[in-house]
Amino acid sequence: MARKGFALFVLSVSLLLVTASSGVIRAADDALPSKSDASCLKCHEYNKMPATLAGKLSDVSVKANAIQLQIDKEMEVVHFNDATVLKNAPSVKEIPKQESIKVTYFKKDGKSIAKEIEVKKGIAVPKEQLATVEEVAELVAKGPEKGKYVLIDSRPTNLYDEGHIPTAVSMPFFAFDKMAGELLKDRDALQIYYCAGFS
Amino acid sequence: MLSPLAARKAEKLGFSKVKVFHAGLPAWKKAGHPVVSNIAGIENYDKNEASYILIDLRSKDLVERGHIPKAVMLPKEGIASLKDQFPKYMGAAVILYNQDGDISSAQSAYKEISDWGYKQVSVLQGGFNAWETAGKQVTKGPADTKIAYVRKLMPGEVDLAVFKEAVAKRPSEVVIMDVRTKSEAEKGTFPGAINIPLDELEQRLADVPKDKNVFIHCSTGARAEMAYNVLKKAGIDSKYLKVNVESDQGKVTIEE
Repeated sequence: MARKGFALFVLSVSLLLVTASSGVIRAADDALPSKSDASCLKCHEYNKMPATLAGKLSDVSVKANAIQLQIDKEMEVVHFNDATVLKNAPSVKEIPKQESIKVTYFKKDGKSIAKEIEVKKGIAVPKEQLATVEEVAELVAKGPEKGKYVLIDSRPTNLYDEGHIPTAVSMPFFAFDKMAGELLKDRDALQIYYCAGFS
Repeated sequence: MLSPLAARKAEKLGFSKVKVFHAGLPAWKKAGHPVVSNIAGIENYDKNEASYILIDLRSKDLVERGHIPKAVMLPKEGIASLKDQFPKYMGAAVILYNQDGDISSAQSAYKEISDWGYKQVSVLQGGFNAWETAGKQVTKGPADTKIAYVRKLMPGEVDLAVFKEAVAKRPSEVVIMDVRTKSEAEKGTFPGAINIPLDELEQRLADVPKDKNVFIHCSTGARAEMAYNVLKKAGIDSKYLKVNVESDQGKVTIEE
């Protein structure tokens, strides 16, 4: 009972604030659904945050001030405006397609409008653990035996089949536990993991 | 995104020599290094009924003795003479193969096609030998000399021929919806088309005819696709055109 009362109080205050600041009345954002790509949910609980969409940037239209996010197999269209806060990108237009983004939004006149668009930075890898493209190319030229390495493609198998770095082996991230015993036998060999980049 | 997580798992298993090539495949391609594909990749495309360009880099003699089905023979004038036949779509899968999968001998063709802007070029690992050894179907005799690539339509996408026919015939059961801005549409739109700019669509859902087939277009297909998804969400069926449409001085043209 007490909790309910509190929630109601917060709701009415935020409603008042919004009404006062922009003259626009809208429902509490908490009522808006959140949707998140399965890949984001591995590390984040965006599905438990209010009015949050997380997925890959599918397209941007500057002429219509709209972006399209791919969330699993669904597409979500969200508009943006001058008030939209942008994080980790100089402009919406400059966000590369397929980049992972997180959007918080509200509804106005039936439209979803972005409050904030955040370009996700991906998982930080310590500098000493990063392999450069030159380093990988040098090893690939030597071959796994002479170069004493295992180059591991972490993407799903079908993507590996359609195109991968020469000498790489396929071990999809989701099959790691199943395949690691068989593939990673040589403790002295350098293991280099790669996938589709930072997103 | 997956590779750092995999590296962490490896470290947990007690491996100490673990690195992450975080920039990954996009950086590898960007640096001009070749990418290889394998037989399963070709089979995936076939299974999904997706089109691909398969180029046999070997001599005419070897090609006629046996080649991979759907392969196109490299003309003796070289790869550049095939350029005109390549699709506009830069995401088209292009697979090159030679006898044994030797990358260095396929490198010049790989580089040339990549330089044209194609993003999914690969050299078939193991070449024709691997294909034959795996017991896959082999076609004897001369190979095709023409590339027949048809980009698979995305969900909701309308075939260009269907759209053009709808525009030409203006059947009563079809409506063309122009989702460009008002000022763009004023430069010229299809006869009888309705103009609902994408950023007004949600407020004007009532203006979208529900008893007709709705074909949406914009100037490139980007906004049209978004409009399609907005309508889908609202429970309205439509199709969208992913082709360039240009308007100038009252004339509207569809790019082929």
